[in-house]
Amino acid sequence: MSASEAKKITLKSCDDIEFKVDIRVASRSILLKNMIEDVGETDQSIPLPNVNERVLKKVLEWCEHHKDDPQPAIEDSDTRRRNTEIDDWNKKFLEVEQDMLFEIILAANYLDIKQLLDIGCKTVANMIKGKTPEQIRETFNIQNDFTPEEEEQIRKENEWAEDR
Amino acid sequence: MPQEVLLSIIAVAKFENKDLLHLSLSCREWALIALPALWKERDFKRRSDFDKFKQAILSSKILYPYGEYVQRLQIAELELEPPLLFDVEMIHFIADQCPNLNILDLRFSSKPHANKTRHLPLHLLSDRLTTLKMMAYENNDTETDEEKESDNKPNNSDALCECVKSLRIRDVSLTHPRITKPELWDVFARNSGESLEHIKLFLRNEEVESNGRVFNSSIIVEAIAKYCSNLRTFVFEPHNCARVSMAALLNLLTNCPKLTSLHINITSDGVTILHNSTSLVKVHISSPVEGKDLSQISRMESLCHLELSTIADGCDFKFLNQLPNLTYLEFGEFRQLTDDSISNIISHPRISELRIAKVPQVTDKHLLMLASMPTLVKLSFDQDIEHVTREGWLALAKRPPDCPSWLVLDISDGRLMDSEFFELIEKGHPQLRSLSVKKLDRNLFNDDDKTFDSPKFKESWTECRNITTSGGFWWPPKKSGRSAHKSKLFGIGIS
Repeated sequence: MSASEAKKITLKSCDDIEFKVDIRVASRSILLKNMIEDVGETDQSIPLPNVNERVLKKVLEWCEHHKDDPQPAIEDSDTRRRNTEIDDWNKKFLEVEQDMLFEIILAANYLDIKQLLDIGCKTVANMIKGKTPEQIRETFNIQNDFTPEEEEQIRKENEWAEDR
Repeated sequence: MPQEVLLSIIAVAKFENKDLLHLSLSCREWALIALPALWKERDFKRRSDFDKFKQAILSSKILYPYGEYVQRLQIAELELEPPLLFDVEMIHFIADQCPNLNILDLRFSSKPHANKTRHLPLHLLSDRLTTLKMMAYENNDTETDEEKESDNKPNNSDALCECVKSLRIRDVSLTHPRITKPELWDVFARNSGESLEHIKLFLRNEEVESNGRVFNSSIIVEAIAKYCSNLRTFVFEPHNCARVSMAALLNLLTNCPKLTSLHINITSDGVTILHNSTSLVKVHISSPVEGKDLSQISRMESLCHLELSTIADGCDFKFLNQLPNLTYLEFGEFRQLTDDSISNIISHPRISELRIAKVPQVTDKHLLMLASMPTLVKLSFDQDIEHVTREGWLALAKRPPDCPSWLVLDISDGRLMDSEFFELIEKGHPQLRSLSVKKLDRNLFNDDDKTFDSPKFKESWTECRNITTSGGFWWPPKKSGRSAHKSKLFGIGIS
């Protein structure tokens, strides 16, 4: 084990729980990676005001599992679509309550963990595919805020999309 | 959810239009994200569809600014009734309503247009387009009745040349243009200037040369070389025209220092001057080249990808020594393949992908040699191979221990393959990503062959036995979209 691998930092969740984490694991987050590079070694904990203990624990589990993966390059939508295959481990990892899934996605977005964000988003996308508007609303507990006239107009203007 | 997360969901998903519409209808927040994705790329073949597109954009009660969402438009004139025809009014409409349009793809009908295409006001879109694609664009010598009546004779306006004048358009693709005025190519290249980075030209002699002569395609290359110094990609396929001369090619190579990808139809000796470009990464020569010219190739450090459509005579492939960084080699129509040719290919230190097309002389020995090439991981044969036997395929599957797993194998002629080949591939090549074999022979497999139950290939075998007629095997299985295969391979049906 090299010296840099042994180095740890402390992350503090918004509910004041501290996690001592290997730098390599924390560096899956581009936000934390940049912070560590800017600040250097520090004994002080890094506060994460947008992530609670429950979610941070889960995100760190993902980072630990993927600590040796290469950092993803900047990609366009097509490449993101191609590269976002969800393997068995990730599939199982994301078999969580819907609230938790959304919190993981939000945390991945805040911490800038692109691969986790992408597989989370793809999991949500898979929940959308093939559903009617009513089923989508039901699945995600969405309030229909269109008037019946507006809904009808959008349907009519976009009826071409139903054929393809 | 923040908007960037909703955008990420759209970005990573392979949504069908229907999904995007249903998402849009779920609530206002999703509509703001999903409708732009739905309208981003629109294509039209029918008049009625285009009319509805216009109606939605011009609706008196505007809910969403659909026109602003459009970034790519593809419109095709087909011989349907009522016809969808390009006219001045259509271009004005697009110019007025689609301010964010980047890519315009116009496919004119194959009927003569009496030059009306050259009068379309495409310049109205030149402030926003970065890519212009046109099929059967026409500006020929024939004067239209309209032009004859015009007071401003001669009418030299040309929509294409006017449009590229904005110096915004980086990418132009012209398929089968009917441009019989040679001087127009010079104007086009001059107007495109340094903004042009990628150009694809597919010409047919009868459409660019009105008097039955052979078109001198070098004039186009000369013009591009003269004015377009930022060119990165040049695809030039002049069918039945004169091949591009060495002099024109030399100008292109020396005047375009950023050229990385070249697909061209040149005289055979042109290959001897390719080294004049130090930027070329990818080269495709679509015309026949002779072995003696290939042997004159000079060192090219940058070249990684080489495709030779036809090698006209003998070639020992020693020229590969001059291309030390080549990782992809493709050649075809090569009738004089020898052991020496293969020996020099397998001695190359970097080639990882090899595609061989229409080279029937491949033998078992050649497969054995290729199997021993330590860098090769992707191999394709696109042809019937008469001289390869079962032993040759087994040799290919049994690579020496110091050779890596095959990643991709694509074989068009599997007539003499049997189950042992597939067993060896399954056991010995853990990194395999793709295997496709065509023309498998039913008689070489038993109905209860254990191969069909292999954990890895089971689904592919089921698909192969159920729905293909051509003995085609694909792993990973193609699943959907294979309905074209009507009857069953081997006559065995698995319910």
